Amino acid sequence: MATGNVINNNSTGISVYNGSGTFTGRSIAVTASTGLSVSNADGTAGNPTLAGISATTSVLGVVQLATGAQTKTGTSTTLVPPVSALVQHQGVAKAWINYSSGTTTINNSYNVTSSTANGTGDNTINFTTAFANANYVAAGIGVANNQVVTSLSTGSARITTGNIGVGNLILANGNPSTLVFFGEQ
Amino acid sequence: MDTRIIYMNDMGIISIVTPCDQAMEELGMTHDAFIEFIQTKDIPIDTPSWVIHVNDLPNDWTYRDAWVCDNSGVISVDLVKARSIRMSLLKNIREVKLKNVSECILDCQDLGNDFTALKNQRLQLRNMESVETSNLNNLTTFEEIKSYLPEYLS
Repeated sequence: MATGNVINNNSTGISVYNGSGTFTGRSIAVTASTGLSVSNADGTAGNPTLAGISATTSVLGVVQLATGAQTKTGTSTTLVPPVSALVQHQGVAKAWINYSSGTTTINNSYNVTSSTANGTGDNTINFTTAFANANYVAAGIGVANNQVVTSLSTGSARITTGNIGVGNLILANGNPSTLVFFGEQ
Repeated sequence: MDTRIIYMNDMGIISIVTPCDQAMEELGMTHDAFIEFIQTKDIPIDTPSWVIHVNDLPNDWTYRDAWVCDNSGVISVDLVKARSIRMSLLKNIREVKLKNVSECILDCQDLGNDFTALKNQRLQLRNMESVETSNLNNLTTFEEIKSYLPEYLS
């Protein structure tokens, strides 16, 4: 058709119908920051090809999402974890809680369904999603009290709180106590 | 939330379970469904439990380790455990007084003053546990136990 010349007349190889019966040449910028590349743009050696390039820390581009297992391993330098998988990384806290056992109040928490006050200075933290094994880490501090781990199981952690006396821990409720848990889920 | 779940634990007192609001929201559960979920997941298997309001817990937490509940979930204070807790409190008072009396005796010795009365007081403090165990055992109500304080310890 006669308009073929119009199409071939633009050097970018990309033409758009402008709605007024004619075609207009358009281009795609190719720079290091756009993360796109156009090959054979003049159309003389074949169809133009538009391709994404891999993202780096300085160049925009296409990324591949990591699986949960890959996020957990945490060794890839090219994969990007989706938000939903971030928590699976080994270095991310799997649960935490700020609670006052003396008033049975949970002030804030993550991945905790409940806390159980077994007695003075004796509390169990129950997890929503259990750990894969009992070899996880509990750490924490309380206002005017100290904490020691009594036992760890995959679904819960039993914690003793109290004040340090002469050679022993005098049981007392933490108000509040804070705990954070790291490990494999 | 104001809901608590109680059950008798293996130490013979009640455990108090506090459900977590954030978890209920994250799991998208209704209040009642979440409480049932907690009762299934966070309470030992085959252990009866009762859902109560937080205001149903006693106000005085000094005797928290003597709290027990009956077959309907009503909380009361176990008198044997209460006596034991009261004895611990009396011992704490005794320790302070014993230290003070011992220091006074040393001062009297240094100054050459008579300290016979102080020695008798120290002996009374040292014998406190056996004497007051018997006295506490004679008390039959929680109110009597928690207010019991011999004059020499006051």
